Amino acid sequence: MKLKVPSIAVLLIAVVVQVALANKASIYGIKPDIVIVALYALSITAGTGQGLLYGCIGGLLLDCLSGGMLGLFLSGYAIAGYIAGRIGKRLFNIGETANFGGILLLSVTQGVYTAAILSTLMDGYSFFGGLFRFALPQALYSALAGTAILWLFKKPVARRVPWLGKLRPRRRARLFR
Amino acid sequence: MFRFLAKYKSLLILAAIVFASLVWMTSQVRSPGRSSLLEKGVAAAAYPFVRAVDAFASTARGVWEGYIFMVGLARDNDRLTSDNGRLVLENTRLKEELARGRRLDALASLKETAASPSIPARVIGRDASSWFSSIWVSAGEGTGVRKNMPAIAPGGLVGKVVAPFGSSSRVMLVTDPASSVSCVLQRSRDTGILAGNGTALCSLRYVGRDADVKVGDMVVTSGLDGVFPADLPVGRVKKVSKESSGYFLDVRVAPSADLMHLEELLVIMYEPQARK
Repeated sequence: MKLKVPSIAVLLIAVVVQVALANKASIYGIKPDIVIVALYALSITAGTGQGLLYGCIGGLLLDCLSGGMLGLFLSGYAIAGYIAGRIGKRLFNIGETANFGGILLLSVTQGVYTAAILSTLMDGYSFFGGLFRFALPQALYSALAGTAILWLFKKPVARRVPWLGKLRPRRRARLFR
Repeated sequence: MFRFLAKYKSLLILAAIVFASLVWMTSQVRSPGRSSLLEKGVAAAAYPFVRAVDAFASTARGVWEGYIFMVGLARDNDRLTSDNGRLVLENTRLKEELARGRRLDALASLKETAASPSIPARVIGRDASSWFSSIWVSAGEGTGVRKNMPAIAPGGLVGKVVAPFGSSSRVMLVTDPASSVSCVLQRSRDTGILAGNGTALCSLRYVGRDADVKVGDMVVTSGLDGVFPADLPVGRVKKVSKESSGYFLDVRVAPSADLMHLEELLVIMYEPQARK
């Protein structure tokens, strides 16, 4: 598990944007989760180990800058990072549909975990209330926003890594193991 | 054995992280309200960046709303010249200044009416997640902000300081699921606990079935919780329903402060007798 400085920088930028700007794009109190989008983008090609590590870092920063309990997002995002690393091994073609599905899956997983923990530890907190009020709308919003963001960044990234597009899918998948 | 460990290394680490986090969270539930050194460190490190991004976003929004949109129109309209654009920009800036001045005026008059001295603060960030309702403000321990001090805005009660850092603080809004405020209905003097649930409306809990509650009733702080001074306006009753069973009414309250668009607030340096 090696830490990459540019990846950590992307996570830090995502956290700062999440705190300072995400609220400006909120709809009925639901804001897009920029950190999960960044986590997906970093972990999908990095494998389970690094995905786990990126999830821990992003989650811990969010824990410190949010009103919840410390450890809640750390573990939730670690799970999301691990899953992103695993599904990355199975994806041959990372396009818009895969991005939408991937971000949706990570966000729903993290949301279900958060709702479960909150309903267990907080008095009067409803699991299904949290799930339907926050987790699912936020997952959908994040998936839509994330797919758009990744689509915007797709071309510059492809231009900087020209050999990536020429590889056969199986060879490319093997590279990310 | 070693092959097994090597094969499932990541999964085992994940399981250990989840277990350790559960233990950590449980310990916080048992002794809540501590702002750790880690939180303070991250907040101190992130503060300049968040503040810079917030300032940049405010400027960009002003320029976008007041200038770029106008420039777009100017393309369709030959009469608009570069002078007009400059004037529009200046006008927008002045309007922003005027709006800001009005908000500060309202805050200043609130400061004069508040019984305890208060500290003005600017909202520089919102909670990073949708699950909790807290804001990050630009006043911290350096300016005298302490934990549990109430925060108010021209509309009414905003919440309380839960984590004061060096030059910033985190304020838990009354709509946060962990927030509870002892309140009283101004007209009937029935008491209850105002609890947030993460949405725009709060619940006024433990109001008896026979209580006299009407939609539009004003809810104010009772001062009984030892955190908030008495008689601060909190909100108005939006909905009252009586369930077929149970001892209490289901009362929903809309906070009177505009928590969604909050830009400035006052932190009241209130310390009740019990805490002194």
